[in-house]
Amino acid sequence: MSLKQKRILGRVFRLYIPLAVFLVITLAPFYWILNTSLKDPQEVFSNPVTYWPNQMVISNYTNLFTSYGFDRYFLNSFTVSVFVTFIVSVLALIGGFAMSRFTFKGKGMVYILMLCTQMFPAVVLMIPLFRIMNSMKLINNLLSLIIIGSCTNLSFCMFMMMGFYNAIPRSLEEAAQVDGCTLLSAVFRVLLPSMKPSIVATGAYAFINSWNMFVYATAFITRKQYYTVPLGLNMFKGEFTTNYGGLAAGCVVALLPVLIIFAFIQKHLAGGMTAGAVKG
Amino acid sequence: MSVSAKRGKHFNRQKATPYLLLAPILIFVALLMLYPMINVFTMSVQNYKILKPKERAFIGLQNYITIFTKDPLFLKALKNSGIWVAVSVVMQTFLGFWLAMLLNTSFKGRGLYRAVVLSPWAVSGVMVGIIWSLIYGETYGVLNDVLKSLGLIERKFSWFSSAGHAMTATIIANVWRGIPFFCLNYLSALASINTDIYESAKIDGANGWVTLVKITIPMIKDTIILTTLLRSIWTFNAVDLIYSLTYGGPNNATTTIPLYIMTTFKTGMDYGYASALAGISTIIMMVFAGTYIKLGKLGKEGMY
Repeated sequence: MSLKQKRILGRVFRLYIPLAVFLVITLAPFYWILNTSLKDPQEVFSNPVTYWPNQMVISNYTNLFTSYGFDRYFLNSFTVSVFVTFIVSVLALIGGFAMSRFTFKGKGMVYILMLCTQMFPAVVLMIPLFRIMNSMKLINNLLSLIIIGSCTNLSFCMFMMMGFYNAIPRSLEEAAQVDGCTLLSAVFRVLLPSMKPSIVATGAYAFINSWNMFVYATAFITRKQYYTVPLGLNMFKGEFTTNYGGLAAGCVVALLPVLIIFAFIQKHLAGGMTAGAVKG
Repeated sequence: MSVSAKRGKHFNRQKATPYLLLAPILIFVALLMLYPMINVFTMSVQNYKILKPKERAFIGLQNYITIFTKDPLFLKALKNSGIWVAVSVVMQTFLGFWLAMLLNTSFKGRGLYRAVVLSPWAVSGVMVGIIWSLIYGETYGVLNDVLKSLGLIERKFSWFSSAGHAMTATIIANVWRGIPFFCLNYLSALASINTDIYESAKIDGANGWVTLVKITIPMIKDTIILTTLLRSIWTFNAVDLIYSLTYGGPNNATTTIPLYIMTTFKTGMDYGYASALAGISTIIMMVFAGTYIKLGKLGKEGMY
């Protein structure tokens, strides 16, 4: 075997085969729910299982919205996620600026504090937060999820923003200030335009997380009319234990927004991750 | 107003700016994270059952004593948590690192491949639980069918009726979801290594394994320590996947500490006891994090 052949063979074994295995492992579960969601109820239980629907049906999808109330759950999830995304983006944009551009007393403390709060688990905070929300009459109210969703995403998003600011040279807004801008207008006119992609990435991160929020949702929401998608799916699993086609369809629809968003922002996630990434 | 006074005012405003900018975030965090965290510990020393409000009283460490001496489920949950975290994190570290090494090589279509292969990152725990329950299903699941046609099992069986299988199944689902997180962290660390060092290693005659063990891994040691630490804490706390896949079953074989807290809170309505469990789990994590950082001799630059 020539040296060149040997090198190609090495690349196949060391790179292409592992790449293919990782790809199959990643995609197989997605494929399986898509496949299940397109089968009619009898075929789901057919023996042997079918790897491609004999007869493709979309009733699993239409039933979600007409009989199982998922239109409501989706609306609720969207409401929560959109508000959380907006609040978190604005506050993280402001806070990240302070962390990146100023030196001040207690900065190290703020840093450590924000890192620590990310490790506070939802199951632990759930108990006192339930009492707080209860005393504010916010149980079975989407506002409770908006408040908590914002709070739990703030610190990570602030670190993300800080990283993005750090990557932009300070001379940019300083030059604008020399030219007679105030700090505020320098930020708005010079800094913000170049921050656009970063704001999108941070917002998208907050959106995905609030879309996926579950532990707080089970604690604060008990009435079906306020269910978010994860709650709806979890209830679906418990209540309609044999309608796996419907369950799979619900998953597919719930996954679409987050997977699309993820595909666009995954490049931006790598850099800021290590600083304080506790969230999945 | 004199010039110096004006300057002083300007100076003060400059000084106050960062605090004002950070104020909303800090207020949020103080009210909804710090105060509740303290509240957990104050509730944990009370007899506080929602259904018996009149019996609410300070009882000292009684809840903690009961947990350690009279609660076999706590010990079981602790053991389950240990297995769940250790196996998940070790497997994710290994596979995530491998994937990061692959993605760090250049090949055609790398950008698209990366976006696809990292996508489980965005899938919530509940969804992972449901997706995998459709895979593990006894008759309708694909896994039994594949294993059977490969001749690895004789007949289809229920993954969730024996303790060992249920734990294995839950961990596999968790690993699937966690690989991208590790991979993302290692990727950025690998990208920061200067490629010159590999060139000189090659000239010195080092082969792939030697380069990996002697150069790559030591260079990104801090990232490995930090990632495994953060992920251990996160995995310890993660409850949604188990909640939707097994709900702790069969016979509490997959009940971890957080799930135990959740059921004590939600179904038992025993706030005092649940808070004590929460307090213990917080302390466990703090001790774990402290020891881990000390043993790993984590360099400061890794944190900032």
